[in-house]
Amino acid sequence: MLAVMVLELYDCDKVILARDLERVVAESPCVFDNTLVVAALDCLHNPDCAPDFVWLCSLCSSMGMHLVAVRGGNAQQRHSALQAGLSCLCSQSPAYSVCEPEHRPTPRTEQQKAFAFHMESCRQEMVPVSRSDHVPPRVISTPVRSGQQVFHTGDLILAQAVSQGAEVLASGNIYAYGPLRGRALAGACGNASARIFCTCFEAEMVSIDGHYKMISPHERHLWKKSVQVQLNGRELSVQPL
Amino acid sequence: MARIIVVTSGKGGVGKTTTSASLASGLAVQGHKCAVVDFDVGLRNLDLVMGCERRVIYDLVNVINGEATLNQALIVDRRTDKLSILPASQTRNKDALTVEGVGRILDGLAETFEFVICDSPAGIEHGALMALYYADEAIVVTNPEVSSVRDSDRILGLLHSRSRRAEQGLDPVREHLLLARYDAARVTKGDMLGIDDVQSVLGIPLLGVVPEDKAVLEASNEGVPVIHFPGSAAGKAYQNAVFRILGKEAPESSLEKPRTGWLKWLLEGSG
Ligand SMILES: Nc1ncnc2c1ncn2[C@@H]1O[C@H](COP(=O)(O)OP(=O)(O)OP(=O)(O)O)[C@@H](O)[C@H]1O
Ligand SMILES: [Mg+2]
Repeated sequence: MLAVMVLELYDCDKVILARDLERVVAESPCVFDNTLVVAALDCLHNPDCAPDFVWLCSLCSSMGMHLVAVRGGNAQQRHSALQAGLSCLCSQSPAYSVCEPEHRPTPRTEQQKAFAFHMESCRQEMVPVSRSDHVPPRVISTPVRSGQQVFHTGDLILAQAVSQGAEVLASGNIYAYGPLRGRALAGACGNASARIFCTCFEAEMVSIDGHYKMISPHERHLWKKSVQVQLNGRELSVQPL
Repeated sequence: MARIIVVTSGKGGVGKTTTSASLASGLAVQGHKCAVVDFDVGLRNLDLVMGCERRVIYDLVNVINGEATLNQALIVDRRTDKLSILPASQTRNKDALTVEGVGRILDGLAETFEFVICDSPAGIEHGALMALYYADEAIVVTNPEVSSVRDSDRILGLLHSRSRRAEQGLDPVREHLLLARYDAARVTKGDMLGIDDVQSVLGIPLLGVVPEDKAVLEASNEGVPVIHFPGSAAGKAYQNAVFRILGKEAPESSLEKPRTGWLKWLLEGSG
């Protein structure tokens, strides 16, 4: 099960969001580093406002977080989220759909927060709204260098090397045709059947559906070999191809 | 069309300024009008290596702020008049560089020079980003050690995502690897990475291999770029790199033959 950070948006004013988010992250940077974030739209003070998701994505990534999906929201908001490359998830189940009292929308005062953060394990509810929507794979034909991150909702195809210190994430499978030296996370939004295939295995870490494995010297017999990584129950297995 | 070439590395002290000074001098000696710009605002080293520190009146930041014209700030090299130096300011910090201001300077230089060499500061922050933003080509200076290779990889990522060419969806920045301070004996002992180790990580074409050479320090103490010492190993390596930048054949020095280690070397019985 994968833990995600839910960013419950109350306000979509960029200045306020950026300011408050920076403050919260600065207080405890480690908590937010490299987390997957879902933006929940159910509690917006103005349910019809139009958040700028492209901007929000880059804001999050500048703070080390990966915004991967929105939850709830109206048709227009979901459309613009899709355009920004995000997944759209169902609203929370009815039992939870009423905002908790402290979160209930009220007119904003100066002190009021623009958002709230909480952790959730996302498996059950991270069901893409329309599974029939076919998402084409994303092909990255340049090397993914140290410090770079690539995320795709769907399958991710890497035609060149993924460097040590780089990170590739996909909600689906990952296929790496160059050396895979960085971190690879498949099924990153909850998908136990996702796999990682690579032709030259030198990864620092692999993860499927939130189960991760740091690559230790025990795996050295697989070093630079063609391998596939899959989840057997709760156990990650790395097998030669 | 001027070629704007950034000399960059991520890691500090790997030989960017040494390389900028020698390549710019070498290109000028070959008859190409060349400007070399010190982007290391706050430190200012290039003028020392070029031996023109006493002639600095105005600097890059003065020109950006409109306190001097480009022509007032450019210093013509004593050895070849095809080469001009635009020094960095010692009293400001790197925030004085703006995308717009740097753009104006480089446009101005591109009108009269064939090559504009940008000597980047270390790091991956604002100063380094300003130096690489307008580049058409990048010479990534790397020492054969793990941390330097990692930082070069990082810089290559920035060239791919944060340069003007990346932002505007133009042809990507052309990348060249310059391996500096290469010590064949230490590679053989296994203390240092070999050429092919570095290349397998970075995966970009090799422009040259500059050996570790005492002549570099002696030259920079004299304020003469090492390429002006054709008898030195480093000077020769830079000269070959200049030929390659100009698209000419350059003899492959013995260093540049990829070596997989002494064992294989012995087995194959060749040198
Ligand atoms: N090939 C070489 N052989 C021996 N010494 C060298 C060589 N190249 C550079 N050096 C020495 O390494 C030091 C750093 O070189 P240089 O100033 O060119 O690096 P830099 O990358 O510009 O540093 P910075 O990041 O501080 O700007 C200097 O003392 C220089 O003399
Ligand atoms: Mg320097």
